[in-house]
Amino acid sequence: MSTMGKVIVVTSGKGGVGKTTCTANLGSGLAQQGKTVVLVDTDIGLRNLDLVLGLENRIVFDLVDVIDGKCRSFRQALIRDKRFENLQILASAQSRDKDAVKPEQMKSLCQELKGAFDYVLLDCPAGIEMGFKNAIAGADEAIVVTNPEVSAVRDADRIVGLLEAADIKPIHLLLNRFKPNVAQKGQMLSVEDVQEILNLQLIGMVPEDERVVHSSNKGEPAVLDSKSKAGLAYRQIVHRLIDPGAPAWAPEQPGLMSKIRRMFTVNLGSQPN
Amino acid sequence: MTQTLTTPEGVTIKGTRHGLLVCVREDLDFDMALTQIQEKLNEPFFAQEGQRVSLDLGWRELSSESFTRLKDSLGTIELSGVLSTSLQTRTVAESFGIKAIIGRLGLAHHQGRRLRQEQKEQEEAAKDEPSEETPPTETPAPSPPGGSDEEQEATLYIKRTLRSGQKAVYPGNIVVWGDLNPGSELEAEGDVLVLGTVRGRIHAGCNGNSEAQIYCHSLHPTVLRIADGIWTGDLKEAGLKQLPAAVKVSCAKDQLRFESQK
Repeated sequence: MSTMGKVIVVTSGKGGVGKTTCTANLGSGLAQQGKTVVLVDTDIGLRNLDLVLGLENRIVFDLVDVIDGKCRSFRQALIRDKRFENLQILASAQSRDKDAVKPEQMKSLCQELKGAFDYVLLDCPAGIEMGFKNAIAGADEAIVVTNPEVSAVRDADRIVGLLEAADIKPIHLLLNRFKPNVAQKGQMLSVEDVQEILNLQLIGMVPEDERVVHSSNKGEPAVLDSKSKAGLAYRQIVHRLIDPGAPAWAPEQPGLMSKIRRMFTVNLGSQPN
Repeated sequence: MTQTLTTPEGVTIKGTRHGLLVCVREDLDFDMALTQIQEKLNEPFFAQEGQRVSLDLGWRELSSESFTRLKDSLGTIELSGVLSTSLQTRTVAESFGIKAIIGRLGLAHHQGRRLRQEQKEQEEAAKDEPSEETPPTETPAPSPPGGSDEEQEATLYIKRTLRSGQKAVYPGNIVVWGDLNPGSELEAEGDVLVLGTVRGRIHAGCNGNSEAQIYCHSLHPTVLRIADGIWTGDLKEAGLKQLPAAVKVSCAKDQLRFESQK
Protein backbone atom coordinates (compact mmCIF):
# COMPACT_ATOMS: atom_id res chain seq x y z
CA MET A 1 0.00 0.00 0.00
CA SER A 2 1.51 3.23 -1.12
CA THR A 3 -1.29 5.63 -0.23
CA MET A 4 -3.00 5.93 3.11
CA GLY A 5 -6.53 4.66 3.49
CA LYS A 6 -9.55 6.61 4.68
CA VAL A 7 -10.95 6.49 8.19
CA ILE A 8 -14.72 6.96 8.10
CA VAL A 9 -16.81 7.08 11.25
CA VAL A 10 -20.43 5.92 11.03
CA THR A 11 -22.37 7.84 13.63
CA SER A 12 -25.88 9.10 14.41
CA GLY A 13 -26.36 10.40 17.93
CA LYS A 14 -29.62 8.55 18.42
CA GLY A 15 -29.55 4.83 18.95
CA GLY A 16 -31.31 2.24 16.82
CA VAL A 17 -31.15 4.09 13.51
CA GLY A 18 -28.94 1.44 11.91
CA LYS A 19 -25.31 2.45 12.42
CA THR A 20 -24.08 -1.10 12.93
CA THR A 21 -26.10 -2.47 10.03
CA CYS A 22 -24.79 0.29 7.78
CA THR A 23 -21.20 -0.32 8.87
CA ALA A 24 -21.49 -4.04 8.19
CA ASN A 25 -23.17 -3.51 4.83
CA LEU A 26 -20.89 -0.76 3.57
CA GLY A 27 -17.86 -2.75 4.73
CA SER A 28 -19.01 -5.86 2.91
CA GLY A 29 -19.92 -3.80 -0.14
CA LEU A 30 -16.50 -2.16 -0.26
CA ALA A 31 -14.85 -5.55 0.14
CA GLN A 32 -16.98 -6.89 -2.70
CA GLN A 33 -15.55 -4.11 -4.87
CA GLY A 34 -12.07 -5.42 -4.10
CA LYS A 35 -11.05 -2.85 -1.48
CA THR A 36 -9.24 -3.86 1.68
CA VAL A 37 -11.47 -2.93 4.58
CA VAL A 38 -11.33 -3.09 8.34
CA LEU A 39 -14.41 -2.51 10.48
CA VAL A 40 -13.81 -1.34 14.04
CA ASP A 41 -16.56 -1.68 16.61
CA THR A 42 -15.96 1.21 19.01
CA ASP A 43 -19.07 0.49 21.05
CA ILE A 44 -17.15 -0.89 24.01
CA GLY A 45 -19.38 -2.86 26.37
CA LEU A 46 -22.16 -3.31 23.82
CA ARG A 47 -20.59 -5.47 21.16
CA ASN A 48 -22.80 -5.92 18.09
CA LEU A 49 -20.90 -5.64 14.84
CA ASP A 50 -19.55 -9.18 15.01
CA LEU A 51 -23.10 -10.54 15.35
CA VAL A 52 -24.38 -8.76 12.27
CA LEU A 53 -21.53 -10.32 10.29
CA GLY A 54 -21.94 -13.71 11.99
CA LEU A 55 -18.42 -13.71 13.44
CA GLU A 56 -19.08 -13.84 17.17
CA ASN A 57 -17.39 -17.15 17.79
CA ARG A 58 -14.14 -16.13 16.17
CA ILE A 59 -13.30 -13.34 18.60
CA VAL A 60 -10.15 -14.00 20.61
CA PHE A 61 -8.75 -10.51 21.13
CA ASP A 62 -10.66 -7.25 21.04
CA LEU A 63 -10.14 -3.51 20.71
CA VAL A 64 -9.24 -3.00 24.38
CA ASP A 65 -6.69 -5.84 24.20
CA VAL A 66 -5.03 -4.10 21.24
CA ILE A 67 -4.95 -0.76 23.03
CA ASP A 68 -3.69 -2.29 26.28
CA GLY A 69 -1.00 -4.14 24.32
CA LYS A 70 -2.26 -7.58 25.31
CA CYS A 71 -1.66 -8.89 21.81
CA ARG A 72 1.45 -8.54 19.67
CA SER A 73 -0.08 -6.18 17.12
CA PHE A 74 -3.51 -5.18 15.93
CA ARG A 75 -3.22 -7.84 13.25
CA GLN A 76 -3.53 -10.57 15.82
CA ALA A 77 -6.91 -9.24 16.93
CA LEU A 78 -8.38 -8.84 13.45
CA ILE A 79 -11.02 -11.35 12.45
CA ARG A 80 -11.29 -12.28 8.80
CA ASP A 81 -14.79 -12.22 7.34
CA LYS A 82 -16.36 -15.51 6.22
CA ARG A 83 -17.12 -14.27 2.71
CA PHE A 84 -14.40 -11.79 1.83
CA GLU A 85 -10.72 -12.25 2.49
CA ASN A 86 -10.08 -8.54 2.24
CA LEU A 87 -12.64 -7.68 4.96
CA GLN A 88 -11.53 -7.82 8.57
CA ILE A 89 -13.14 -6.71 11.78
CA LEU A 90 -11.81 -5.56 15.11
CA ALA A 91 -14.42 -6.38 17.73
CA SER A 92 -15.00 -4.28 20.82
CA ALA A 93 -14.69 -5.60 24.37
CA GLN A 94 -17.91 -6.81 25.92
CA SER A 95 -16.86 -6.73 29.57
CA ARG A 96 -15.33 -3.24 29.70
CA ASP A 97 -16.75 0.24 29.32
CA LYS A 98 -16.05 3.36 27.26
CA ASP A 99 -13.42 4.67 29.70
CA ALA A 100 -11.13 1.76 28.84
CA VAL A 101 -9.91 3.70 25.80
CA LYS A 102 -8.64 7.25 25.39
CA PRO A 103 -9.13 9.39 22.27
CA GLU A 104 -5.35 9.66 21.71
CA GLN A 105 -5.06 5.88 21.75
CA MET A 106 -7.88 5.55 19.23
CA LYS A 107 -6.20 8.13 17.07
CA SER A 108 -2.91 6.28 16.92
CA LEU A 109 -4.71 2.99 16.28
CA CYS A 110 -6.57 4.59 13.36
CA GLN A 111 -3.25 5.88 12.00
CA GLU A 112 -1.85 2.35 12.06
CA LEU A 113 -4.96 0.84 10.51
CA LYS A 114 -5.19 3.31 7.65
CA GLY A 115 -1.64 2.51 6.71
CA ALA A 116 -2.70 -1.09 6.13
CA PHE A 117 -6.21 -0.81 4.66
CA ASP A 118 -8.04 1.16 1.96
CA TYR A 119 -10.99 1.83 4.23
CA VAL A 120 -11.30 1.91 8.01
CA LEU A 121 -14.96 2.07 9.05
CA LEU A 122 -15.62 2.93 12.68
CA ASP A 123 -18.95 1.88 14.15
CA CYS A 124 -19.70 4.64 16.65
CA PRO A 125 -21.82 4.13 19.78
CA ALA A 126 -24.99 6.16 20.30
CA GLY A 127 -24.69 9.32 22.37
CA ILE A 128 -22.20 12.17 22.50
CA GLU A 129 -20.13 11.07 25.47
CA MET A 130 -16.77 9.35 25.81
CA GLY A 131 -17.60 6.60 23.29
CA PHE A 132 -18.41 9.16 20.63
CA LYS A 133 -15.30 11.21 21.39
CA ASN A 134 -13.18 8.08 21.11
CA ALA A 135 -14.78 7.07 17.84
CA ILE A 136 -14.30 10.41 16.10
CA ALA A 137 -10.78 11.02 17.42
CA GLY A 138 -9.08 9.31 14.49
CA ALA A 139 -11.70 9.87 11.81
CA ASP A 140 -11.09 11.74 8.55
CA GLU A 141 -14.64 11.61 7.25
CA ALA A 142 -18.04 10.85 8.69
CA ILE A 143 -21.27 9.22 7.60
CA VAL A 144 -24.18 10.47 9.66
CA VAL A 145 -26.98 7.92 9.66
CA THR A 146 -30.46 9.17 10.37
CA ASN A 147 -34.05 8.04 10.02
CA PRO A 148 -36.82 10.23 8.68
CA GLU A 149 -37.99 11.00 12.21
CA VAL A 150 -37.87 14.31 14.06
CA SER A 151 -35.92 12.88 17.00
CA ALA A 152 -33.30 11.19 14.83
CA VAL A 153 -32.84 14.33 12.72
CA ARG A 154 -32.48 16.49 15.83
CA ASP A 155 -29.77 14.22 17.22
CA ALA A 156 -28.07 14.06 13.85
CA ASP A 157 -27.96 17.85 13.76
CA ARG A 158 -26.27 17.91 17.16
CA ILE A 159 -23.75 15.34 15.96
CA VAL A 160 -23.03 17.32 12.81
CA GLY A 161 -22.31 20.37 14.97
CA LEU A 162 -19.81 18.37 17.01
CA LEU A 163 -18.22 16.84 13.90
CA GLU A 164 -17.83 20.28 12.35
CA ALA A 165 -16.23 21.53 15.56
CA ALA A 166 -13.82 18.60 15.37
CA ASP A 167 -12.95 19.56 11.78
CA ILE A 168 -14.10 16.26 10.27
CA LYS A 169 -15.11 16.65 6.66
CA PRO A 170 -16.74 15.77 4.41
CA ILE A 171 -19.77 14.70 6.41
CA HIS A 172 -22.08 12.47 4.38
CA LEU A 173 -25.73 11.96 5.15
CA LEU A 174 -27.28 8.52 4.94
CA LEU A 175 -31.04 8.40 5.27
CA ASN A 176 -31.94 4.96 6.55
CA ARG A 177 -35.25 3.11 6.82
CA PHE A 178 -36.92 5.44 4.38
CA LYS A 179 -40.47 4.59 3.28
CA PRO A 180 -41.19 6.38 0.01
CA ASN A 181 -44.94 5.78 0.02
CA VAL A 182 -45.37 6.97 3.61
CA ALA A 183 -43.31 10.08 2.91
CA GLN A 184 -45.40 10.65 -0.23
CA LYS A 185 -48.53 10.86 1.93
CA GLY A 186 -46.81 13.39 4.14
CA GLN A 187 -46.89 11.11 7.19
CA MET A 188 -43.13 10.93 7.43
CA LEU A 189 -40.39 13.49 6.94
CA SER A 190 -39.41 13.70 3.29
CA VAL A 191 -35.86 13.79 2.01
CA GLU A 192 -36.29 17.52 1.41
CA ASP A 193 -37.42 18.07 5.02
CA VAL A 194 -34.36 16.28 6.36
CA GLN A 195 -32.04 18.04 3.93
CA GLU A 196 -33.49 21.43 4.81
CA ILE A 197 -32.40 21.04 8.41
CA LEU A 198 -29.18 19.09 8.08
CA ASN A 199 -27.95 20.63 4.83
CA LEU A 200 -25.43 17.88 4.12
CA GLN A 201 -24.33 15.99 1.05
CA LEU A 202 -26.74 13.05 0.76
CA ILE A 203 -24.74 9.91 0.04
CA GLY A 204 -27.82 7.76 -0.28
CA MET A 205 -31.14 6.58 1.01
CA VAL A 206 -31.83 3.07 2.20
CA PRO A 207 -35.45 1.99 2.00
CA GLU A 208 -37.14 0.15 4.83
CA ASP A 209 -36.77 -3.53 4.04
CA GLU A 210 -37.72 -6.50 6.16
CA ARG A 211 -34.96 -8.49 4.56
CA VAL A 212 -32.41 -6.32 6.35
CA VAL A 213 -33.62 -7.47 9.76
CA HIS A 214 -33.67 -11.04 8.59
CA SER A 215 -30.20 -10.91 7.09
CA SER A 216 -28.76 -9.14 10.15
CA ASN A 217 -30.12 -11.88 12.36
CA LYS A 218 -28.65 -14.51 10.09
CA GLY A 219 -25.31 -12.74 10.08
CA GLU A 220 -25.37 -12.12 6.34
CA PRO A 221 -25.27 -8.47 5.24
CA ALA A 222 -28.14 -7.34 2.99
CA VAL A 223 -25.72 -5.77 0.53
CA LEU A 224 -24.94 -9.26 -0.77
CA ASP A 225 -28.62 -10.11 -1.26
CA SER A 226 -29.30 -9.35 -4.90
CA LYS A 227 -33.07 -9.31 -4.37
CA SER A 228 -33.05 -6.84 -1.51
CA LYS A 229 -33.93 -3.21 -2.24
CA ALA A 230 -31.89 -2.10 0.73
CA GLY A 231 -28.99 -4.14 -0.58
CA LEU A 232 -29.23 -2.29 -3.88
CA ALA A 233 -29.20 1.02 -2.04
CA TYR A 234 -26.14 -0.02 -0.06
CA ARG A 235 -24.34 -1.01 -3.26
CA GLN A 236 -25.10 2.45 -4.63
CA ILE A 237 -23.66 4.07 -1.53
CA VAL A 238 -20.55 1.94 -1.81
CA HIS A 239 -20.05 3.20 -5.35
CA ARG A 240 -20.49 6.76 -4.17
CA LEU A 241 -17.96 6.23 -1.41
CA ILE A 242 -15.44 5.01 -3.97
CA ASP A 243 -16.42 7.57 -6.60
CA PRO A 244 -18.33 10.59 -5.28
CA GLY A 245 -19.68 11.28 -8.77
CA ALA A 246 -21.69 8.02 -8.95
CA PRO A 247 -25.49 8.44 -9.12
CA ALA A 248 -27.60 8.30 -5.98
CA TRP A 249 -30.43 5.89 -5.51
CA ALA A 250 -33.79 7.48 -6.28
CA PRO A 251 -36.74 6.29 -4.24
CA GLU A 252 -39.43 4.52 -6.18
CA GLN A 253 -42.54 6.63 -6.54
CA PRO A 254 -45.76 4.67 -6.25
CA GLY A 255 -48.03 5.17 -9.26
CA LEU A 256 -48.10 4.66 -12.98
CA MET A 257 -44.49 5.55 -13.49
CA SER A 258 -43.27 3.06 -10.93
CA LYS A 259 -42.53 0.29 -13.38
CA ILE A 260 -40.45 2.49 -15.61
CA ARG A 261 -38.65 3.96 -12.61
CA ARG A 262 -37.95 0.52 -11.25
CA MET A 263 -36.30 -0.47 -14.51
CA PHE A 264 -34.26 2.69 -14.36
CA THR A 265 -33.22 2.07 -10.75
CA VAL A 266 -32.23 -1.51 -11.40
CA ASN A 267 -30.19 -0.38 -14.36
CA LEU A 268 -28.29 2.04 -12.22
CA GLY A 269 -27.71 -0.65 -9.66
CA SER A 270 -26.32 -3.26 -11.98
CA GLN A 271 -24.26 -0.88 -14.08
CA PRO A 272 -21.11 -0.59 -11.97
CA ASN A 273 -20.91 -4.27 -10.98
CA MET B 1 -7.22 18.48 16.27
CA THR B 2 -7.24 15.76 18.90
CA GLN B 3 -7.37 18.25 21.67
CA THR B 4 -10.55 19.75 20.38
CA LEU B 5 -12.00 16.30 20.14
CA THR B 6 -11.20 15.19 23.64
CA THR B 7 -12.60 18.29 25.28
CA PRO B 8 -14.77 20.07 22.78
CA GLU B 9 -15.65 22.85 25.18
CA GLY B 10 -12.30 23.35 26.90
CA VAL B 11 -11.88 26.81 25.51
CA THR B 12 -14.89 28.95 24.77
CA ILE B 13 -14.95 32.39 23.27
CA LYS B 14 -17.56 34.88 24.26
CA GLY B 15 -18.20 38.23 22.69
CA THR B 16 -18.42 41.11 25.13
CA ARG B 17 -18.68 44.80 24.63
CA HIS B 18 -14.94 44.93 25.26
CA GLY B 19 -13.94 42.52 22.55
CA LEU B 20 -13.57 38.79 22.86
CA LEU B 21 -13.33 36.99 26.17
CA VAL B 22 -11.51 33.68 25.91
CA CYS B 23 -12.57 31.40 28.75
CA VAL B 24 -10.16 28.59 29.50
CA ARG B 25 -11.63 25.77 31.54
CA GLU B 26 -9.71 25.47 34.77
CA ASP B 27 -9.20 21.71 34.72
CA LEU B 28 -7.98 21.68 31.13
CA ASP B 29 -4.38 20.60 30.59
CA PHE B 30 -2.23 23.70 29.98
CA ASP B 31 -0.66 22.52 26.73
CA MET B 32 -4.03 21.49 25.45
CA ALA B 33 -5.41 24.88 26.41
CA LEU B 34 -2.71 26.61 24.38
CA THR B 35 -3.43 24.50 21.33
CA GLN B 36 -7.14 25.07 21.63
CA ILE B 37 -6.75 28.83 22.03
CA GLN B 38 -4.65 28.94 18.89
CA GLU B 39 -7.16 26.85 16.97
CA LYS B 40 -10.02 29.04 18.10
CA LEU B 41 -8.28 32.27 17.23
CA ASN B 42 -7.35 30.90 13.82
CA GLU B 43 -11.00 30.61 12.92
CA PRO B 44 -11.76 33.42 10.51
CA PHE B 45 -14.86 34.20 12.51
CA PHE B 46 -12.77 35.24 15.51
CA ALA B 47 -9.68 36.62 13.87
CA GLN B 48 -10.71 40.16 13.03
CA GLU B 49 -8.37 43.09 12.69
CA GLY B 50 -7.84 45.03 15.86
CA GLN B 51 -9.91 42.61 17.91
CA ARG B 52 -9.41 43.06 21.63
CA VAL B 53 -8.95 39.83 23.49
CA SER B 54 -9.22 39.16 27.23
CA LEU B 55 -8.61 35.89 29.02
CA ASP B 56 -10.69 34.30 31.74
CA LEU B 57 -8.39 31.89 33.53
CA GLY B 58 -10.49 31.04 36.58
CA TRP B 59 -8.40 29.73 39.47
CA ARG B 60 -5.61 28.44 37.23
CA GLU B 61 -2.21 29.40 38.68
CA LEU B 62 0.34 30.41 36.09
CA SER B 63 4.06 30.91 36.47
CA SER B 64 5.59 33.78 34.52
CA GLU B 65 7.11 31.17 32.23
CA SER B 66 3.77 29.62 31.35
CA PHE B 67 2.24 33.07 31.06
CA THR B 68 4.83 33.95 28.42
CA ARG B 69 3.86 30.81 26.52
CA LEU B 70 0.22 31.77 26.80
CA LYS B 71 0.95 35.26 25.48
CA ASP B 72 2.99 33.82 22.63
CA SER B 73 0.17 31.48 21.68
CA LEU B 74 -1.96 34.54 20.95
CA GLY B 75 0.56 35.55 18.31
CA THR B 76 0.00 39.05 17.03
CA ILE B 77 -3.24 39.45 18.92
CA GLU B 78 -2.81 41.85 21.80
CA LEU B 79 -4.04 40.71 25.17
CA SER B 80 -6.04 43.50 26.74
CA GLY B 81 -6.82 41.97 30.12
CA VAL B 82 -6.96 38.94 32.36
CA LEU B 83 -9.67 37.70 34.68
CA SER B 84 -8.58 35.32 37.39
CA THR B 85 -9.33 34.38 40.95
CA SER B 86 -5.72 33.35 41.48
CA LEU B 87 -3.56 36.03 43.08
CA GLN B 88 -0.45 34.52 41.53
CA THR B 89 -1.87 34.60 38.03
CA ARG B 90 -2.97 38.20 38.45
CA THR B 91 0.41 39.23 39.83
CA VAL B 92 2.17 37.56 36.93
CA ALA B 93 -0.15 39.19 34.40
CA GLU B 94 0.40 42.60 35.94
CA SER B 95 4.16 42.08 35.85
CA PHE B 96 3.71 41.84 32.06
CA GLY B 97 1.86 45.12 32.11
CA ILE B 98 -1.51 43.52 31.51
CA LYS B 99 -4.51 44.67 33.43
CA ALA B 100 -5.72 41.88 35.68
CA ILE B 101 -8.86 41.79 37.75
CA ILE B 102 -10.29 39.28 40.15
CA GLY B 103 -13.19 37.26 38.90
CA ARG B 104 -14.49 34.42 36.84
CA LEU B 105 -16.83 34.89 33.96
CA GLY B 106 -19.94 33.74 35.74
CA LEU B 107 -19.18 35.85 38.77
CA ALA B 108 -17.91 38.82 36.80
CA HIS B 109 -20.96 38.74 34.61
CA HIS B 110 -23.20 38.67 37.63
CA GLN B 111 -21.32 41.45 39.39
CA GLY B 112 -21.36 43.52 36.25
CA ARG B 113 -25.09 43.22 35.95
CA ARG B 114 -25.62 44.15 39.59
CA LEU B 115 -23.37 47.18 39.33
CA ARG B 116 -25.12 48.31 36.19
CA GLN B 117 -28.45 47.92 37.91
CA GLU B 118 -27.24 49.97 40.88
CA GLN B 119 -25.84 52.61 38.59
CA LYS B 120 -29.11 52.83 36.75
CA GLU B 121 -31.04 53.20 39.97
CA GLN B 122 -28.68 55.94 41.12
CA GLU B 123 -29.05 57.77 37.84
CA GLU B 124 -32.79 57.56 38.05
CA ALA B 125 -32.79 58.74 41.63
CA ALA B 126 -30.57 61.65 40.64
CA LYS B 127 -33.00 62.80 38.01
CA ASP B 128 -36.01 64.69 39.31
CA GLU B 129 -38.24 63.55 36.54
CA PRO B 130 -37.15 60.25 35.04
CA SER B 131 -37.86 60.91 31.38
CA GLU B 132 -36.73 58.16 29.09
CA GLU B 133 -35.41 55.01 30.57
CA THR B 134 -31.84 54.41 29.57
CA PRO B 135 -31.49 51.01 28.03
CA PRO B 136 -29.20 49.05 30.33
CA THR B 137 -26.97 48.08 27.46
CA GLU B 138 -25.91 51.68 27.01
CA THR B 139 -24.78 52.21 30.57
CA PRO B 140 -21.10 51.49 31.00
CA ALA B 141 -20.29 48.01 32.17
CA PRO B 142 -17.67 48.19 34.88
CA SER B 143 -16.38 44.68 35.19
CA PRO B 144 -14.55 43.28 32.16
CA PRO B 145 -11.02 44.50 31.59
CA GLY B 146 -9.90 46.70 28.80
CA GLY B 147 -12.21 49.62 29.52
CA SER B 148 -14.23 50.51 26.43
CA ASP B 149 -14.76 54.09 25.39
CA GLU B 150 -17.22 53.88 22.58
CA GLU B 151 -20.63 53.18 24.02
CA GLN B 152 -22.49 52.15 20.93
CA GLU B 153 -24.31 48.90 21.07
CA ALA B 154 -22.12 46.02 20.06
CA THR B 155 -23.36 43.45 17.58
CA LEU B 156 -22.27 39.86 17.16
CA TYR B 157 -22.33 38.53 13.62
CA ILE B 158 -22.68 34.79 13.25
CA LYS B 159 -21.96 33.86 9.65
CA ARG B 160 -23.10 30.25 9.74
CA THR B 161 -26.00 28.03 10.73
CA LEU B 162 -26.42 27.23 14.40
CA ARG B 163 -27.08 23.53 14.84
CA SER B 164 -28.85 21.70 17.63
CA GLY B 165 -27.08 22.17 20.97
CA GLN B 166 -25.19 25.28 19.85
CA LYS B 167 -25.89 28.45 21.74
CA ALA B 168 -24.79 32.04 21.34
CA VAL B 169 -24.93 34.44 24.27
CA TYR B 170 -24.05 38.07 23.74
CA PRO B 171 -24.51 41.27 25.73
CA GLY B 172 -25.58 43.22 22.66
CA ASN B 173 -27.37 42.55 19.37
CA ILE B 174 -27.02 39.32 17.40
CA VAL B 175 -27.23 38.94 13.64
CA VAL B 176 -27.26 35.43 12.19
CA TRP B 177 -26.39 34.92 8.52
CA GLY B 178 -27.73 31.41 8.43
CA ASP B 179 -30.42 29.23 9.93
CA LEU B 180 -31.28 28.52 13.53
CA ASN B 181 -31.85 24.79 13.54
CA PRO B 182 -34.21 23.21 16.07
CA GLY B 183 -32.45 22.83 19.40
CA SER B 184 -30.20 25.88 18.96
CA GLU B 185 -30.45 28.97 21.16
CA LEU B 186 -29.73 32.67 20.93
CA GLU B 187 -29.59 34.90 23.96
CA ALA B 188 -28.99 38.62 23.41
CA GLU B 189 -29.33 41.63 25.63
CA GLY B 190 -30.28 43.63 22.55
CA ASP B 191 -32.08 42.87 19.29
CA VAL B 192 -31.90 39.73 17.22
CA LEU B 193 -31.96 39.53 13.43
CA VAL B 194 -31.91 36.18 11.64
CA LEU B 195 -31.53 36.05 7.89
CA GLY B 196 -32.21 32.32 7.54
CA THR B 197 -34.91 29.98 8.76
CA VAL B 198 -35.72 30.17 12.46
CA ARG B 199 -36.52 26.88 14.14
CA GLY B 200 -34.45 27.40 17.30
CA ARG B 201 -35.13 29.47 20.40
CA ILE B 202 -34.47 33.16 20.68
CA HIS B 203 -34.36 35.32 23.78
CA ALA B 204 -33.89 39.00 22.98
CA GLY B 205 -33.48 41.59 25.70
CA CYS B 206 -32.56 38.79 28.07
CA ASN B 207 -31.47 41.25 30.77
CA GLY B 208 -34.99 42.64 30.98
CA ASN B 209 -34.80 45.11 28.09
CA SER B 210 -38.37 44.99 26.80
CA GLU B 211 -37.52 47.41 23.97
CA ALA B 212 -35.58 44.67 22.24
CA GLN B 213 -36.93 43.31 18.98
CA ILE B 214 -36.64 40.17 16.94
CA TYR B 215 -36.69 40.25 13.16
CA CYS B 216 -36.77 37.13 11.01
CA HIS B 217 -37.38 36.28 7.38
CA SER B 218 -38.67 32.78 7.86
CA LEU B 219 -40.11 31.99 11.26
CA HIS B 220 -41.34 28.56 12.20
CA PRO B 221 -43.27 27.92 15.41
CA THR B 222 -40.68 27.97 18.22
CA VAL B 223 -40.15 29.64 21.57
CA LEU B 224 -39.46 33.36 21.27
CA ARG B 225 -38.79 35.53 24.29
CA ILE B 226 -38.31 39.26 24.65
CA ALA B 227 -37.49 40.33 28.20
CA ASP B 228 -40.26 38.62 30.22
CA GLY B 229 -42.63 38.07 27.30
CA ILE B 230 -42.82 34.50 26.01
CA TRP B 231 -44.40 33.10 22.87
CA THR B 232 -44.56 29.33 22.54
CA GLY B 233 -45.32 29.01 18.87
CA ASP B 234 -49.10 29.33 19.11
CA LEU B 235 -50.42 31.12 16.04
CA LYS B 236 -53.71 32.09 17.66
CA GLU B 237 -51.86 33.69 20.51
CA ALA B 238 -49.84 35.68 18.03
CA GLY B 239 -53.09 36.80 16.38
CA LEU B 240 -52.03 35.37 13.04
CA LYS B 241 -53.61 32.90 10.65
CA GLN B 242 -50.23 31.87 9.38
CA LEU B 243 -46.72 33.05 9.97
CA PRO B 244 -45.80 35.76 7.47
CA ALA B 245 -42.61 35.46 5.48
CA ALA B 246 -40.92 38.36 7.23
CA VAL B 247 -41.93 39.29 10.72
CA LYS B 248 -40.92 41.80 13.34
CA VAL B 249 -41.57 40.82 16.92
CA SER B 250 -41.70 43.32 19.75
CA CYS B 251 -42.87 43.19 23.32
CA ALA B 252 -45.62 45.13 25.06
CA LYS B 253 -46.72 44.36 28.62
CA ASP B 254 -45.03 40.96 28.61
CA GLN B 255 -46.91 39.98 25.44
CA LEU B 256 -45.15 39.52 22.13
CA ARG B 257 -46.54 41.47 19.21
CA PHE B 258 -46.10 40.25 15.66
CA GLU B 259 -45.97 42.63 12.73
CA SER B 260 -45.65 41.22 9.27
CA GLN B 261 -43.17 43.06 7.10
CA LYS B 262 -43.38 43.54 3.39
